[in-house]
Amino acid sequence: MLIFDNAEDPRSLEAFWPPSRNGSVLLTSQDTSWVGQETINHGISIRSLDIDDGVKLLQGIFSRWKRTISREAAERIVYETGGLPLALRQIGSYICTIGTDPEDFVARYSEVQSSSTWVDQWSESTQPSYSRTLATFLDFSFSKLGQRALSALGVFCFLDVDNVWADVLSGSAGQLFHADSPE
Amino acid sequence: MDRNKDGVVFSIHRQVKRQLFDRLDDVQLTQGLQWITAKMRHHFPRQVPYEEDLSDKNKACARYIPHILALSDALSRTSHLSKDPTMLAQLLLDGGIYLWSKRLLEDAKGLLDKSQLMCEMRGEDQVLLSEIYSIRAAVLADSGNLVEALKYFEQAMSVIKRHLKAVKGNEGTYDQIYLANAYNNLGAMYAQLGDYDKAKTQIEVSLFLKKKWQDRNVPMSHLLCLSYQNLGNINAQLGDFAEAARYFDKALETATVESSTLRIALTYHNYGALNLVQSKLTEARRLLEEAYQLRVEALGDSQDTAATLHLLACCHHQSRGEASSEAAR
Repeated sequence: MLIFDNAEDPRSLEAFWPPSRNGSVLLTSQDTSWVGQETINHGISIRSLDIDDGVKLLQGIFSRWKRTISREAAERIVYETGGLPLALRQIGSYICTIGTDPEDFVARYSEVQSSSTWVDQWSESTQPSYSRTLATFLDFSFSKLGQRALSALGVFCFLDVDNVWADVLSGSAGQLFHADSPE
Repeated sequence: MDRNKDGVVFSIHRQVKRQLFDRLDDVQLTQGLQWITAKMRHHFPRQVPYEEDLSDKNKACARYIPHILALSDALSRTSHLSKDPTMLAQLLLDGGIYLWSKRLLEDAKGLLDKSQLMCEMRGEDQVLLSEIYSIRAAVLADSGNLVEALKYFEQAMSVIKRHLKAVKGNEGTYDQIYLANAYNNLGAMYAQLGDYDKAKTQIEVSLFLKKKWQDRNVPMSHLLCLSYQNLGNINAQLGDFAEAARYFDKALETATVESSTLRIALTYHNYGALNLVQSKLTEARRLLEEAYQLRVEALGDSQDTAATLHLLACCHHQSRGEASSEAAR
């Protein structure tokens, strides 16, 4: 059994695809073009979370921070994000980290609507709603950041997505996690 | 953010990272690029293939190489923002050398492409450019693309010659050593392509230059060892075993504690192979056992160690007798 988790486009895995017909390959991806590949026998489209599962996810995040969120606020957030797990995680963590009230967040968040950005061009096969939902949340959270914080975030653009050891960021850790505004 | 026994480690979702690019302006991206270039340069040690073993000087190389690869990817859109393209070129070159040493040739090529792009941006460091061409050639040679490799070695030679002409009278100590290396590399390439006469000429010029610097008390034993060994290989290919043995002896005489352990091991291995071909089994075994000891200590289980073991097995097999058969097995 070979597992490719969060695979990018088919071209990027050409060199690693096993030539043997024995065994199984399990692949997860946001790139829907995999479904059309000859090498894929069977594909399942994973839908967004339904209301109950989305609320459960948010409540789990809040409880780890020893906080609570009303069902109504949680449902509103699930509705606004279309039940996309990444957006729910980002928003849940954001609310808990900043310490804002979930109802206040929902009220302000509903006013922010991001249109499709050119970032969607990065991954033509990613569901557009996925990028737009994330874009909406990031528009909202970025508007709270000062110039220093934004500059510090610029560092992450040039790092690998995983295994960013603290010593790589040392010397600027204070800058990275200190927003100019109270939020 | 996670905490484990090794410390704190962060991760960022790929989509979030992409969205960051969308929002940050050139000023913010430039600051990020500057900062991360300097940070990586500080943490990732210089990889110098001609002087030392291509082994981890610092175990952290493995920790930082994914970030150097990510930095290289990001340069597709941000290379024009770099304020110090030369430092970036050097960092990417070192990443490329590290990946080459690990036989990750495609990834090495990717880094070397970007290194060349950054170096050519200002075009001020011709010695660095020559080094990039040389490593590109080495990667191509190891990928089996000998004709392209030769072109890059020739380009490396042209660049260093142009540079020496431009700085005549003011050249640094190592500039001419780069020229000597360029001749050696070309010679090794011609040898691989079967043009042994041209190969010999190039390496003899390389030796001449290196001996000149040795006479000026610049440590050159490791580089001399390399060229003597190459001449040993070429003469062995030409069937002149006596001359080949003479050069292998010189390579081993020249090697000192400053020389690369793996280079000495390679010399013992090739010299052992030469004796094996001539059925001088006792001498072959002695030399190959030296090679094996050095390789197993420096590399552990590796392709090179296995290659020496294989020849040792051939020695024992040829020796006949029960004890030898057991040793061969």
